[in-house]
Amino acid sequence: MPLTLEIVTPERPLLATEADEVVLPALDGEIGVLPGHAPLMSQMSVGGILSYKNAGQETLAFVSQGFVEIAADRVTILAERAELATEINLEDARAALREAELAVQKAEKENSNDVGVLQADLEGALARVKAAERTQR
Amino acid sequence: MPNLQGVRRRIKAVKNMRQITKSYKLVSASKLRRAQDRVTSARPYARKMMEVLGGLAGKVTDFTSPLLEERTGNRTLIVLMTSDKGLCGGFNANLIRAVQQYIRENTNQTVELVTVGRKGRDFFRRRGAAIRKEYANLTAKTVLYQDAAMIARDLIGMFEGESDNEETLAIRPDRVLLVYAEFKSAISQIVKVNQLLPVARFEGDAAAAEAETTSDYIFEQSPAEIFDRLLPRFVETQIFQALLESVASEHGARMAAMDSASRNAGDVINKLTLNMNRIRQAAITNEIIEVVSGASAQ
Repeated sequence: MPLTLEIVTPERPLLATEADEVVLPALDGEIGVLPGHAPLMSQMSVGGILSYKNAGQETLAFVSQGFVEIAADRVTILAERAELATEINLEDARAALREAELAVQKAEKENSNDVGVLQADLEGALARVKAAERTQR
Repeated sequence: MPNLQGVRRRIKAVKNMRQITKSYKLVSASKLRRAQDRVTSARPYARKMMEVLGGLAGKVTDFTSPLLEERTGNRTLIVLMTSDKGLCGGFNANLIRAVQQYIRENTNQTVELVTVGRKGRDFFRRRGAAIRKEYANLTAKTVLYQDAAMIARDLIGMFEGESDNEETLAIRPDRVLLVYAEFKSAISQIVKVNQLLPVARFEGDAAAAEAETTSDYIFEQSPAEIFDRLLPRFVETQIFQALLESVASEHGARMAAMDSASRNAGDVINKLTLNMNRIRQAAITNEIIEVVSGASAQ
């Protein structure tokens, strides 16, 4: 029996599908989920790439922050932000990445306390670009 | 004799007004549709959030969080969500009345306000009520989740704050209530008074928890840590949801108000037209009498 994968964001339900395999970016590293996985609860990473396979077809999505619950072959992701890789506007994503880089450099120069937060933003922006690049090539 | 010209002018003026109210109604209708879509697409997240929290509460029994702390004090913070603009019938008045009623019924409590939207702020500022913080123009364009998160952070800060700050005379609220208009349908909005903080204890879904083998539940982070992160997010979600509901309600209320205004304008036009015809008829009758009496005098 395949997994049921569900991604919801505050804005809208992004995805509800069946999947044979899900790899998701949790806070402490990537988690691979196959049917029959033990129940699990974790926070999600600041920004990463989620991928799932359905009948051999791999789909990518960008997810940022939030929580994941795995129970009884249901993978529920409450993401703060999430986009399917095919929906991401690559140019926008690249622009956001450049902005994030500049913000980090500026904060580092000024020794500001925000460096950590900004670096997290940068990581997210990078993951978003990568997700888009990998599907939209 | 009443002035025919004047009545004609008034009819024209009312027709112009009807044109405006009609187009405003159409604008509201299209905005309502969009707002309604957003409300419905945001609901699954809120529901899932409840499920996850409920499930977690069923598995973890010994958690505590400042956000769950029930205090017996008598200080209440009311978050009032009104619109920024008027022309929406009794929408804001109903919300304001709910707050006033709460204040009247709980005279033993010190009530402070946080206002979202201009109308509520203006009303209570004129009456010199204690407004702790105000937000405006959040709902002018599309409602952003970041805005809801910001409000949530501020509120949580106040709720968790130092017991009392003597300098700023800011009190630490013992509970935070949220007053907003829930969107039922285009013509019906319900004023809701919900407790935001402390977060009501979740009735752990015992049955569901038992059905799963709770013993081998893996927590990547400690349950307490996850809970600590989930609870603020839950408050944010509630505020976000309320903002969306409130915007949809506002447009619904405005549409209804503009609809009845347009209809009322139609009635006024009919009355004035009747009046105008009467005056015209009277003038004609008068002229005929003059002609006839002039002819018979010869």
